Amino acid sequence: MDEIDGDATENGDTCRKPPVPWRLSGALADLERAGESEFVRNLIDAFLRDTATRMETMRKAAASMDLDALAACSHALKGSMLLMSAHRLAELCGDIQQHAANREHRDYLAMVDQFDVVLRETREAMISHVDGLPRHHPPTPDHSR
Amino acid sequence: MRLLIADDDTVYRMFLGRELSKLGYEVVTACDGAAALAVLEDIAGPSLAILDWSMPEADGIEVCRRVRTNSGGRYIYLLLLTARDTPADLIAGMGAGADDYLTKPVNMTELHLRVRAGCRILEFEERSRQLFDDAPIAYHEANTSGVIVRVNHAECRLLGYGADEILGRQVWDFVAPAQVEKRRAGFRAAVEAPNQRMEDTEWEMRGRNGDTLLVRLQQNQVRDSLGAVAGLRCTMLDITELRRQEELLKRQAADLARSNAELEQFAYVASHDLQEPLRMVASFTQLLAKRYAGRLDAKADEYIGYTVGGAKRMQQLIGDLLALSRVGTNGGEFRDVPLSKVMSDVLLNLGPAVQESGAAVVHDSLPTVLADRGQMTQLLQNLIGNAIKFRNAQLPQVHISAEEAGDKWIVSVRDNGIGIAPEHAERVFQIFQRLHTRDQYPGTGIGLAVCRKIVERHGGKIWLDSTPGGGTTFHFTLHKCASGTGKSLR
Repeated sequence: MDEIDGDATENGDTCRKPPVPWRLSGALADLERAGESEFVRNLIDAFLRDTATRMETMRKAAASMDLDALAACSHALKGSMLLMSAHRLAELCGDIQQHAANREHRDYLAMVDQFDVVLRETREAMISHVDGLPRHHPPTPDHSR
Repeated sequence: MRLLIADDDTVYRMFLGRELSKLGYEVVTACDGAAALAVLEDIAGPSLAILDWSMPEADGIEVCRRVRTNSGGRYIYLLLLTARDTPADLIAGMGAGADDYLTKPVNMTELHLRVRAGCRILEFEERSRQLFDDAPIAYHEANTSGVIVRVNHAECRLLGYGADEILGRQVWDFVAPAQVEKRRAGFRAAVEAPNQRMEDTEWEMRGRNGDTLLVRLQQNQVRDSLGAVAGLRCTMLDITELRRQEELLKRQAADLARSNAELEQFAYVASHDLQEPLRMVASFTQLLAKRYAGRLDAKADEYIGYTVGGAKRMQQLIGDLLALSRVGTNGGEFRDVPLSKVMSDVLLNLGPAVQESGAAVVHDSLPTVLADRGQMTQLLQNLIGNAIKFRNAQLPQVHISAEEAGDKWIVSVRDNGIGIAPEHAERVFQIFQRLHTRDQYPGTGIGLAVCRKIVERHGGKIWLDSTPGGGTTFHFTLHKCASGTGKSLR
């Protein structure tokens, strides 16, 4: 599903504009409205770090046709994509996961490349958004065991 | 409330942690299954965990399974959070031991409501646990193999072991060696019984220091949600001291009964054997008085008079003592006795005293009671005789009545005599206790003691209401006759 940046008209049609890779919405938008811009910045930082690592794992799994690993990695990525309102990326993850889980013969490297392109666009959109946010505090460290 | 968020996804961990912290929860996070287990296996760790399904080291399903196997009696509420959303996934998750299941992307309101529901269950569980742990009675739970899986502080104190020394052992490991097989069989029978609660049984337990403890054991089946027996819940009441005291009391009661019987026998024999020589003393002093009155000097006449009087009083005393001892030893059988007929005998016996005093003795309709007729005559005769004897300047008026009180009758004898001060209300029933000199009112001080003994032999009690100068009412209770109320007409 493409991101649609447009308003519904009275007859229900939408004015089609070029799709944007990412736009702040959902839970993140709620946080920002609640004045938690600093936390949103930290979340986006963490997302970008985490996704870069998982992207590499996904690429290796696609190259070696390790479909179980590919399905698991794309499944794991999908959750945070949805939370971060990265719906296009989540959709691509869902496709890869489904095909890999069904053990379909596909060009998974091409699918991962496509995912990588959208991920870069998303990253740029996120960084652009973050750059526009006011800085208040240093990032909150994650103390996970 | 402390809770654990276990997710390998940094973004989710951060987001959930932040949101739940804002709601007031103390959040601990873990980035894989092994770390989550390490947190949950700590006895002081969080009691509620939100687990991602897909995690490295051990996935959420594995964490659920291991927590359910190893939580050591501490309940941990497990909420599985996953992007897997098919019915089969839900069944697998709940089947592994999850209490709840929520799919990603998470709706924070829904997550919070589910966490709150979990907290309510945990609060209830905590109250139950505290009740179990702090109960003053020894308490344990065992599975169907007899292995103790829960034990409370009271049982640890009772047996002298730590909980870690009891948990994992079998219930019959703590009974006296001679009872092990019986306890094992009893446990098995209780597990297989169709009813949930068993009869209480008594067992000898062996404490850590080798002491034998006597306990009363109550066993109840613990059933799972499908009704299958999962084990037994046992409470143990230490009755060692109770039994010791009961034995002591029994021995004391037996000693007392033997002593009383011996005393009664002694009083009977002594008073009976004293009668004959006393009769001789009395007879010869009376003969002496009759033959030699006026023939010796005045002093001699006076001394002879004292001797005759003393001998008569002693005869009276011995007669009354015999009557008292005979209440217990020579009593007749209990039969239905109409008190109205007893009253006729009493009035006949007391005829001269009634006539001489000008007393008016009346009675209401009186019931038939289960009693020894001879003793009923003696009882009423003593009470009415006293009512006439302890009169004041007015003509004596005596009224006998009865009223029902459950399975008993309360019979009352009311007079208009001199009355008894409240501080003497108990004393008058004791043997040889007299409130007046012999010159004022003759007697031995045994009459009311005989009355009490008769009433007590009949399973009743006797007491009095009185105002000095305002008359006295004696009350006593008697069992109803076998056929019911048995009220007769006057």
